[in-house]
Amino acid sequence: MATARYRTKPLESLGRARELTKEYWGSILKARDEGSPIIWSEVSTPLPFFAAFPDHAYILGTVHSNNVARNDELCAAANEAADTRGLARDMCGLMRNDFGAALAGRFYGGGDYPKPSLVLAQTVCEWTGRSARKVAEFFGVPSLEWMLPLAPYGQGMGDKEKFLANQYSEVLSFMERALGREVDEECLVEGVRNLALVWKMWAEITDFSKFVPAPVDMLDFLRMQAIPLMVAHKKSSVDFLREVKAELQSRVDERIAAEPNERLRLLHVGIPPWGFLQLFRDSQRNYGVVWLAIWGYASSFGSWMPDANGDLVPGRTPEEQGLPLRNRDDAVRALARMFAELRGAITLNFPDPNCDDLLKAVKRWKANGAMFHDNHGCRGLQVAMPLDRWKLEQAGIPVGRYESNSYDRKEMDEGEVNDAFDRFFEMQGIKQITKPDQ
Amino acid sequence: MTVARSDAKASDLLGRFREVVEGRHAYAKDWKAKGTGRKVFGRFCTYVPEEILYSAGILPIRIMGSHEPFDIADPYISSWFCGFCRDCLAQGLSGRYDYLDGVVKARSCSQLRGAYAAWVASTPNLYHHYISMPSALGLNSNGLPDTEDHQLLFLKTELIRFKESLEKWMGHSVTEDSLDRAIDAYNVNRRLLRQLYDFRKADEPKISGAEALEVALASKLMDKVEHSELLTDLLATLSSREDFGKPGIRVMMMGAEVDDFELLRLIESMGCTIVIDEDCNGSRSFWDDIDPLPDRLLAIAIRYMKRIPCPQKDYPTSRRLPHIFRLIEDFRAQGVILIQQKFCDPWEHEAADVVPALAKRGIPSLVVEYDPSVRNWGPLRTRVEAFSEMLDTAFM
Repeated sequence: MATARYRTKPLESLGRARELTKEYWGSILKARDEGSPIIWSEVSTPLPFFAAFPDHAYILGTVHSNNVARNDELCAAANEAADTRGLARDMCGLMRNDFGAALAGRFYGGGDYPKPSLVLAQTVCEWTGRSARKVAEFFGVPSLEWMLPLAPYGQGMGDKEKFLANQYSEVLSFMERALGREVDEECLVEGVRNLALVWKMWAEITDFSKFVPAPVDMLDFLRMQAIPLMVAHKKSSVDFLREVKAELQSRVDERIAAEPNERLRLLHVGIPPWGFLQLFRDSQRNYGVVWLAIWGYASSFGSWMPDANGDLVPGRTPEEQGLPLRNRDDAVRALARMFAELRGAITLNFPDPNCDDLLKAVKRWKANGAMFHDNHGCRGLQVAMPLDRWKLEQAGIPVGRYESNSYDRKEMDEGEVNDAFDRFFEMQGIKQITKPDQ
Repeated sequence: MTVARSDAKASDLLGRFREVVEGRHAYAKDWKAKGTGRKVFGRFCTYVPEEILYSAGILPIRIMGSHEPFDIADPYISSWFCGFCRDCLAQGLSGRYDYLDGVVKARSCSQLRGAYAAWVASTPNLYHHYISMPSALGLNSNGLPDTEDHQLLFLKTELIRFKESLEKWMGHSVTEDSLDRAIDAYNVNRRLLRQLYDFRKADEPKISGAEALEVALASKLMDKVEHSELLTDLLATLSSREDFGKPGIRVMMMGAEVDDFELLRLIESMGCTIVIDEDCNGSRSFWDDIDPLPDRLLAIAIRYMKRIPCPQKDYPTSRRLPHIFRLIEDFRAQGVILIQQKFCDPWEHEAADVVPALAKRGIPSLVVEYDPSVRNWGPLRTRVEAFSEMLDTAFM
C-alpha cells in the first residue's frame, strides 16, 4: 500500500451536525405523536416561514425522500405504493419516495407518515407543484404553491424581486389563515437573518474545496448539508457553521486532508445516489480520489456573487447589501432578494450558454475533472447537464458520466457504476492504491 | 398556396390543410419569400403569446418533430426526456428550421426548456426570448384573474419586456393598431375552429378526429388570416360532405402536442371516432379568446392566464377536470383515450389523477404510451380494438 501523502483525521463537527439533524427529526415525531400541527413542504420553501410559526413542526418532503432512499425495505414499500397509485416509474423520484411512503403509511423515522395541517411548495420544476398538491389532496389539507421565476442568465425579466416578495407576503397570509394564528414577526426576522448568515457561511464552507489538499470531502459536506438544507433559520445553525468554518480553517493551516492519498480531485455533478454513498468512499480509498463539494448544493443553499473579475465568490447577506431587516415587510423583501439571486436555482434549472458557473467552480476548486450523474430520478436537474458537460469538455476538463437513480434503489447497478468510475480514474492515469478486498 | 374556391369539396379543402401540415417547412419558406423582410419565428409552446409576434409582422409557427429517429439530439438533451422535445431539438440541429429568424419559449415544462436552451446554444445568432409565464393561475369567481393579481401583473411586465425586445430587434414599434389587428385575427381564427369542432357534437360529425386536428394544427403553421379564409370555406361545405363514413364509437383524445396523424387514423380505423380532443395542438389552444381591453398587453395576459391550462399549470385549483368532464358531456364521448408521451412528467401526473377521476364517474379510459421515434402500431392496434369493442358492448 502506498504511503499516505497527507495527514488526516475525522471532522469533529460531524457530531454536532448529527445532533442538529436528530433535533429536526425528533420535532416531527414529537408533533406527530402529540397531535400537534405539522407543515409539509418541499425543500425550496424559504425556511423562515417555519420560523414565523415557532410552535409548528415541519416536514421537508425532499429530505424525507433522500432518507427513504437509504433504506432498502422502506424504499421498496414506498415505490410499490407509488406504482399502485398509478405514478409512472420514471416520474420524479423525490415524489415517489416521499408520497409513496405516505401512501404506504410509513415514515423514515418509524411509525405512520405524519399528517400535515397544510402544504407549501415553492416550485422551481413542475413536479414540485403537482407533487405537493398530491400530498395535500391525500391528507385533505389546504395547500399553496408559488413560483420561483426563471429566465436565462442575463436576459432579465420583469421585477422578479417584487414578484417574489408579493408571493411571499401571500404565503404568510395564507399560513396565518390556515393555522389560525399570526406570524411571529420577531421570529420571522430572526429566521431570515439566520438564513442569510447560513447561506453566506455555507458558500464560504464549500469554498474550502479550493484548498489542496481538500480539508473536507463531498460525503462530509453531505452530512453537514442537512443544516443549511433543513434548519438554516435557527441560531444553532449559525453557531454550528461558525464552528465548522473554524475547524476547516485549522485543517487547512495544518494541512489535514479529507483523503490522505489525494491524487485526483473531482466534482460530482448532480444529486448523488443516496443509498449508495459508500461507492464514493470506496473510490477515495481505492484510488485516492477526493470528491469535492457538489456545486449544485453549494449554490442552492449558499449565496454566491460575481466579483469584479466575474469569478464567483461567497456573497453578501441582504443586510450587508443595505437592506433593513426590522419587520415582516423587511423580512419578505430580504427573502425575495436572496431567492432572486440564488444562483443554484437559476443555473441548475436553466441551461444557458452564457452562464459558466460550473466551469468556474471547477477552476476555482482546482478540480481535475467532473463526474456527471445521469439521474433517472430527477429530470429537473438533468435540464442543464448536457450543456454544462459540453462546456467543460470544450474547456478541456475531463468529464465522466454514470447512470442510476438517486431515489429508487432498484435502478442502481453498483457494478456498472463502479466500472464507470474505475474507467474514468484510469483514463486520468490514476491506478488503484489498494485492491477492494485489502 | 391559393385560397380555396367556395365551391370546393370539403375533402379537397381538408387536403389543403394536410398539405400545410405535411409541407410545413415549404409553406413557411414560401411565405417568407412572398415579401421583403418577412420573418418567421418558431415557438415551443402554446403559452407563447403569438399575438405579439403576429402584431410585429412575424409569422409564428409551432416547432414540431418529424417522428424519425433523433439521435442527433442525444448529446444535448437527456435521453429520458420526452420524445417530443428531443424530436423538436433534432429538427433544429439537423437544419430543417434554418429559415427561422427567431425562437420563443414560455415557461411550461423543464424538458422543453432544455430543448429550447440547446437550440439557442447551437444557433447563437438567432433571436431568442424566454417568457417567465406564471404557473399559479388563480381565477376569481367570474373565471377571471383579479386585475391586481400579482401573478397577472408580473406576466404583463414579462409581455412588456418581450414586446420591447422584439421592437428593438425589428427596428420598429409594435403599435396598438397592429396589436388590435393581431388580437382580432386570432380571435376570429379561434372562433372558427370552435365552430368546426361544434360539427363533431352531431351524431354524424362530418369530420374525423385526425382531420380536425390537422386543421387545428395547420392554424399553428399558417398565416392566421389565410387559415381563417380556408376554414370559412370548409365550414360552408362541411354539412354537405358525403364522403364521411359511418362514425364509430365516440371517444375523446387527450394528450400533449399530439401530431401523429398516423396514430390518430389508426385509432379511428379500429372502430372509434375521435369526436373531441383535449390537446395543446387541438382544443386547448383555441378554446379561449382575448377579451379586448384598452390595455392590450393586459388583455393578452388575462387570456393566457384564464385559458384552459395545460397539466403543468393547473393550480391552485384544478380547472382541467371540470373542463374535461364538460367536454365529455358536450361531445357525448363514450370513452377517453389518453396518449401518454413517454417520459412526459406533466402528463404522467395528469394520467395518475384523471384516470381514477374518470373511473369514478364510470367513464372508460385507455392510456396509450407513445414515443415518436418508436411507433409500434401492432400492440396499439390490439389495445384500441379491444377498447372499442368494450365500449361497443357497454353501450349496446
